[in-house]
Amino acid sequence: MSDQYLWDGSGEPDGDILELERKLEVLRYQPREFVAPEPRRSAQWFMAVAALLILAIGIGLLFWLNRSRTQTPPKLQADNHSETTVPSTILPHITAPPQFSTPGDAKSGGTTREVVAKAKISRPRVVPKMPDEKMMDQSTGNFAAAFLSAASVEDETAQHIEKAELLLRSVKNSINGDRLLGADLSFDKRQSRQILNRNILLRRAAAARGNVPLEQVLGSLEPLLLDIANLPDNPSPGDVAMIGHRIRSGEIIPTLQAYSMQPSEGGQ
Amino acid sequence: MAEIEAAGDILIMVGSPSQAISRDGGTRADCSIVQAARAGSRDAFDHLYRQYSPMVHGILLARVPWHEVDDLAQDVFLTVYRRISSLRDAEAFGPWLAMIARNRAMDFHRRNRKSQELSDNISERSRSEAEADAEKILSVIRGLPEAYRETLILRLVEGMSGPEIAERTGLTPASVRVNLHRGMKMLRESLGMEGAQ
Repeated sequence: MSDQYLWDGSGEPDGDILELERKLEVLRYQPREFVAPEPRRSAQWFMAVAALLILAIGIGLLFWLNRSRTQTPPKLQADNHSETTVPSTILPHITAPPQFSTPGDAKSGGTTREVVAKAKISRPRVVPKMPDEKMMDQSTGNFAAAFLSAASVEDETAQHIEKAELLLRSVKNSINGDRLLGADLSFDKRQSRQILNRNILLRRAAAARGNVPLEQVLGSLEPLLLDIANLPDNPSPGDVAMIGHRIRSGEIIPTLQAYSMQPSEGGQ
Repeated sequence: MAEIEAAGDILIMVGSPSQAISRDGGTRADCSIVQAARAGSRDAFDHLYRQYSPMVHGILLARVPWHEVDDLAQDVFLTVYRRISSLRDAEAFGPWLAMIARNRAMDFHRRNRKSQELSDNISERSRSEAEADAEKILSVIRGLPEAYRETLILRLVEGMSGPEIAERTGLTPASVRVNLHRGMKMLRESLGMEGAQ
């Protein structure tokens, strides 16, 4: 019995194979229709639309971000001339801080006036638009008036200046020539030290804000406060005379008085 | 389209699955059909389905309960339908399909631990004496070594010839012939047939 019939069905049929084929035919594959899954068109369409939406949102976001970056802040309006108008924080024509005359300088007042007249501001020129602009009298060397219209004085600084003014007046009134009148200066010394500490802070704050006039006034006040605070318990006549002279001749008290009278919002 | 026309010629040639004798160039025709199906041709895939269904049926019949075979065969072709675009070599379609069928049978057994005994369903599922006899013979074939059982089932149950089995499964004709010869010898001995002597 050859295997040819088993191999390809040709040749002499094999009885066993025929019998097996007959019996097993009931298990043979019966053709069935193949049902392919429906393409997920709706899902595909939805995904395509979603992808387009995401893309559009992304492009729109990029465009918006780009626009916000390229937008420049509105230009600050400035005058055509080179001078910048600022509501009275910087005085024109002032550079060097006014130098109060040292003892022994008989022409201290005139020197001060000359310094004020020649002073130039190192910062950009400012043309104040305050109504009291006329009060700026450089010819008379009114140092206080030079600041009056331009400087804006805060309440705290005004109170400080007022205290300093009162202190200096008190010290001045206690000195006659080279002698102390009445009580000693212990209280004034203590107060001078307190005012000095405060003055340092306010001066630095004024410098940070760019308030040059105020900075200069407070800066000129500090040496005087320091000397008063460092006076010995029993000061020598020379020390006393020097303090008195500096207070009277430096016009510091009128300057401080002008500041303390200045309203909080400058320029009116 | 030439590919679809080629598929049409083969459709004319193909009758029942047992008479699916491919002419010369059948492999090339199969390749072109596979390529067409891979490209998305529904007709080409339908042709492949009709051509290879007996093989898949036979492979599953050698491994899973016979009443599960039809549904699992559909699962196999659904898998092929979804993955055919990933098939790189069109000539390897048959072996690739056979591998999917065998893997599907293994998955069936993993999910259905209770029914690992293939003989459980014989008496309960049989509707007729013929089916009962067929299932008894089938259980004997399943008891043979794996290399023989699949080839025998494809030959004796599905009616495929040796060359067809080699062509569809990717085995060499020599291997198929040896499997058929040895498998049949063991089956005769197991069934006590006269040809075993």
